[in-house]
Amino acid sequence: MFALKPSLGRDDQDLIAGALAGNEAAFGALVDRYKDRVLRLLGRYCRDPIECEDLAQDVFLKVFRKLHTFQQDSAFFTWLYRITVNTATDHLARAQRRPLRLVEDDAVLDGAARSGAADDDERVGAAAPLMRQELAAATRAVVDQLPEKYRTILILREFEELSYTEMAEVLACNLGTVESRLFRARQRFKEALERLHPDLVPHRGDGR
Amino acid sequence: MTRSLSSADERLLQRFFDRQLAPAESAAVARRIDAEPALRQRLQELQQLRDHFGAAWAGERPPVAGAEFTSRVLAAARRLPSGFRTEEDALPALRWCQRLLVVAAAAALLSLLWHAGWLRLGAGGARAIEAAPDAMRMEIERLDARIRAAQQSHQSPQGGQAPTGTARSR
Repeated sequence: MFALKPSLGRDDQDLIAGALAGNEAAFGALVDRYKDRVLRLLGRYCRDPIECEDLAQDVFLKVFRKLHTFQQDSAFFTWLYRITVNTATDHLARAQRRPLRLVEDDAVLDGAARSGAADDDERVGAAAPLMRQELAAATRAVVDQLPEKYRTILILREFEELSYTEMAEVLACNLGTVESRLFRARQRFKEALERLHPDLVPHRGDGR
Repeated sequence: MTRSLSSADERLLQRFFDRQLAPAESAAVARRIDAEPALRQRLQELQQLRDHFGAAWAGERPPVAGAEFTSRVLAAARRLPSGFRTEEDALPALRWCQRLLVVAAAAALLSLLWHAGWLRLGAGGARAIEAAPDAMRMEIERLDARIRAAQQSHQSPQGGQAPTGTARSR
């Protein structure tokens, strides 16, 4: 939730110009500067860290190939995020088309966590982290089943804390679309929570 | 969602919640929230949804790039057709260029030699005889002398005609 939002500063411009001129060190510095942010964003789509690193490499190779098309009137990081989001969603689409998938089975993990919880019932304080795990698994399952465009806009807003203007740049749409899509995304998330985990849904009047 | 809010209020509240309003607008919305329970309730719902969404990744540490990540990206970039060229990468290409230049120079030299007539290849070409001018003159004179001698010996027994030319005139 504590995203840094770099703008296209002088340094970025210099590094981009250097990379376009064939300076490998300049491109390396650009990779160094943004690799953790790209990985963090990919981590919202993909749980396997090795897979995330492979995807991050793909992202930077796309950046390398397309850097000459980057319009410097927008921020470099929004352009980079657009490539990252596209790479992640393409990856997810490919993964869904695979006939056999190696999926971390939430139900199995939950079952293991519950049986572990039964063993540890006597232990004071053990319930809290387990409840957090269950809550995380439940909400993650809801997030995972959201349509890609809603999941992406929620990730960009809630985790990356992008402004509406920045999201419009990343998603290549206008501000009105960002606002309405964000509104619908929150609505869909709430509806999915109500359907799958009614106990977690915020109800009218039970607020703080 | 709270149904009592108009869509304009929903949008306004969302912008307020996401901190996308100018300070003056934000202050005005804050005053309305204090005065209107429906807005306050909707704001609480938005906050709870945010908390739930954040909970999906609770306890997960974001992946961090390994120490060799950047060098791996650069190595992969070098392998691209449009990739960076280091001196080591350029060496095989340079060697090929050198070989090509040597072959082209040899071809040009052979072509020059052939055009100058110093090189005749194949059965169709006449064989060139090379000798110093003095040696050639001496050889011609020797052949003339032999022809003359042969003619004389041919004429002596029959008393035929004198020879009409020499090897030089042929």
